[in-house]
Amino acid sequence: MVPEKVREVGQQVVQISQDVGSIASSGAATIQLAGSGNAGFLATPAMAALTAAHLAALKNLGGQLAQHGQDLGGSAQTYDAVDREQNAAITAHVPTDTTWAAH
Amino acid sequence: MPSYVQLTACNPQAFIEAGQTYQRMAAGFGRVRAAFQQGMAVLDGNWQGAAKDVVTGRGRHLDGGLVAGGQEADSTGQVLLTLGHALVTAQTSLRAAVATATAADAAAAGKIGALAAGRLIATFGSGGGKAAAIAQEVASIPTGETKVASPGTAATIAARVASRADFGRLGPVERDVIDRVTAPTGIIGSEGLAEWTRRQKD
Repeated sequence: MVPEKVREVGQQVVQISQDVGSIASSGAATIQLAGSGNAGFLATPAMAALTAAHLAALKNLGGQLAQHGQDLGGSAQTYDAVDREQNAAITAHVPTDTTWAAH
Repeated sequence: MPSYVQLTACNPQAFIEAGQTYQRMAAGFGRVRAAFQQGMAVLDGNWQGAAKDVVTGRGRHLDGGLVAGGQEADSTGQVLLTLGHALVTAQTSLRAAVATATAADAAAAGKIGALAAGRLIATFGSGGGKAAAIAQEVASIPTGETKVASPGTAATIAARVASRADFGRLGPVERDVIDRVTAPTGIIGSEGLAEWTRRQKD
């Protein structure tokens, strides 16, 4: 149950990272279009910082979200593995009743 | 900094459209963040232990990134819209002025127009923060005195833009022209403006 939820959220976060990527691409395309005939304005350092730095930050955020989603997927797998080991250990520790085995 | 040629040739509508797109991006961030928070809530309700704490901490950090991304998109959108609208106003004033100018006055038109645009942008961007920083940079026109060869036509040029011009940056010649045109009987004085508008309609 828990690993499944974690895996689902991981997939969702990867999807969110793709959404952020789309938003960043949209921003980059928008700025490129706005630059048509306006390059002198966009080239001012403060404007460039506002647009370029923002897009760079979004790209970075998208990458971190993608990594987070993948990490969640990894956590789900680890959780699964630990769960199996613990179940196996519990099963192994159950004493076998041999009272009637010889009969 | 924008030159006279840039001011007349630029495409303010592109800035306005970019600003609108950025504001839609900000709305998109709101939806993305809501989905992310839902996911984090699911984890919070279904998972316990040290591994979850690490993930939750990282999730909070990324949530902050989504909030900042949305705010930056909104802020950038506002700056672009502000700049676009300011340039529309400046361009309209400048074109109307230049339409009545002689070639000899073109330089004065450029100087006054640029100052007016700078002042307009500064006015729209006076709220502080990033918009003001952009406005100050874009409006950074060097101080100088422009020779006004023909005060009559220069007055007409100034009339269209002087109400918003940055008088502090003008030289004495421009100031003299503007003082005259802004007087009640001047071309943009209460009486003069009505007369100018009437003549334009005729």
